[in-house]
Amino acid sequence: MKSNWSVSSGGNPTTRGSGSVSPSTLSGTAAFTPSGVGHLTLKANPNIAGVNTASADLYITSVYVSVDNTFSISSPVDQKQQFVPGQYLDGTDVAVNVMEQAGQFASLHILTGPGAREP
Amino acid sequence: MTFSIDDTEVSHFPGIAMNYPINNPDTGPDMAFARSLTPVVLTSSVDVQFAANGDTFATLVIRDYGAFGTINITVTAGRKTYSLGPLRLPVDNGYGLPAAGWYVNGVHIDGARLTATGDDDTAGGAVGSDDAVTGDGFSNFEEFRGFVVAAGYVRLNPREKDIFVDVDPEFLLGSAVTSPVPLLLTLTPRILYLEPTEVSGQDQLSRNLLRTQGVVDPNRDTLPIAHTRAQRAVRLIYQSAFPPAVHLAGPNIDVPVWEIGYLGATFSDDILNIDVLNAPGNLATIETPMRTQFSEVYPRTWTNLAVNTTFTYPFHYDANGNVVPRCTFQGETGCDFWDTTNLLIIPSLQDNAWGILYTVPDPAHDPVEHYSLQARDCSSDSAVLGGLTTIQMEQVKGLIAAHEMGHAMHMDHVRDFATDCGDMMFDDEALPPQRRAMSNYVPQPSGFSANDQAMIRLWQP
Repeated sequence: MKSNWSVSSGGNPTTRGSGSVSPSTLSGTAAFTPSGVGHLTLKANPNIAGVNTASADLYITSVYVSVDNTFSISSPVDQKQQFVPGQYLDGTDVAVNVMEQAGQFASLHILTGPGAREP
Repeated sequence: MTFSIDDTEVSHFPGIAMNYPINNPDTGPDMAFARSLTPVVLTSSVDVQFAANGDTFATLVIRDYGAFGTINITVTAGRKTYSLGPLRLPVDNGYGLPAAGWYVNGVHIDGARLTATGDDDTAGGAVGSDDAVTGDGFSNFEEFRGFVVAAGYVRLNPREKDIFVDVDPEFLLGSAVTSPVPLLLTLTPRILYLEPTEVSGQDQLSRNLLRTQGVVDPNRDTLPIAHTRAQRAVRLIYQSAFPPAVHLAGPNIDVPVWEIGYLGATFSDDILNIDVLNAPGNLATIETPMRTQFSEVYPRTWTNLAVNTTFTYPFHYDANGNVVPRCTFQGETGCDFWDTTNLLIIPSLQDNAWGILYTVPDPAHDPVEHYSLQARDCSSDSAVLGGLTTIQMEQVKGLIAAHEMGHAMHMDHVRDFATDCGDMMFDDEALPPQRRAMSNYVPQPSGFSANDQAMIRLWQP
């Protein structure tokens, strides 16, 4: 069924996502291209009387693991493939007293809004 | 936004490494989120407000070198809730080990094809068709999780055998020749030296033995393991005060081993009575470390075998300065026997089995004098005049220690005099006085031979 496609976002400014659809008019299918992480709504309006506009809420982001505490939202790098418990990225081991007392710290990052970039 | 780890989806391994801590290892979750960092307060679930800069994060705290867990993240935006993940950390290789592998002394271990419950160490000199030719008693996961050795943390190479040893300091603090360490370096497997606090052993108080049957991977509950039995350290004890005895049936007496000439012994789990070596029920078996209790060296024996002298001074003295009479026949008591042909003073054997050497070396009167033992030459099987030299006697201490530790690695004796004399594990096991053993022959071995290493087995069902 051919529809007009649109993308919108609202609510909390820190979590607004963005993206675009193409083509946006009278097409059975459309390509969605995300451009900013966060919450957005994708709509398809068939312009047929009695048939409602369909919508889908999306959250565009990913989980990033940072082992070495160097995470940057402008150039995010996911280190989950390199993560080994008790080991730094250079292959050295976390000292026993550190593991025993404080533990090894890693951080999990979710990009949630303005300023963030997909890798 | 909520970050959470379900308690059923995170490991709860005891302690933080295979042998750390030994006492009261914690079995709490090995991963958690930090509710605060100063001080660190852990929680299984943490709510985080959206960050204004777009980077919303939570701090994950890892409390075990083998930790794994599955993390769930839910995002609430507007009136909608989204689930991200689940995220398993570390990323698995499909067989229960980190896809990233791990590092051992700076060398990367490729874990791609390793299974958590495998024990894949290569033969490393062991020869045979049995399954135990390969493997060192630790699962690949145990080797990945790692150990605390000499107060530092190490992971192991799952493709090379590792042997843990717990050696009394007397073997490490003296001169190199009295130590088994240089000889152990000739083994293909890697040797790791444990501190007393790094092994979970049993103290046997009847002879003041510490850390026997010492388990090196006590924190193995709920882990992927390869073998039912835990692995033990090769335990070497410097036994100067409480040697075991041998029961002599004829005179019906128990005699300490040093009076019979025992330099060392190894006790498998089949030695039920550790106080009397030949007690009923004891079986002298050669086992892997998994079924070996401990090895001992008896330093008192070194001063009870012989004194080398030139017999140029007419008198010989005991430790109290009293003249020791010369025995006129073997078996006479209160005297020592003079072997003037081989320039040795030796004990007078009682019951054809045991004796006490009264004479002590007296270099003030005869500079040659030192403790010795009756020795022969491998090439001709002829007696060596004066027995072993001072340095050779010292070397026998390291050799016996290494020999006994070899037994604890499943090395049996090699018995063929023609081919094996001079081997670390040589002993033809003939009855005395015909018995020929490594300690009595020169040249002395410089390490373990290929034949010795072929017998190494480190695990058993």
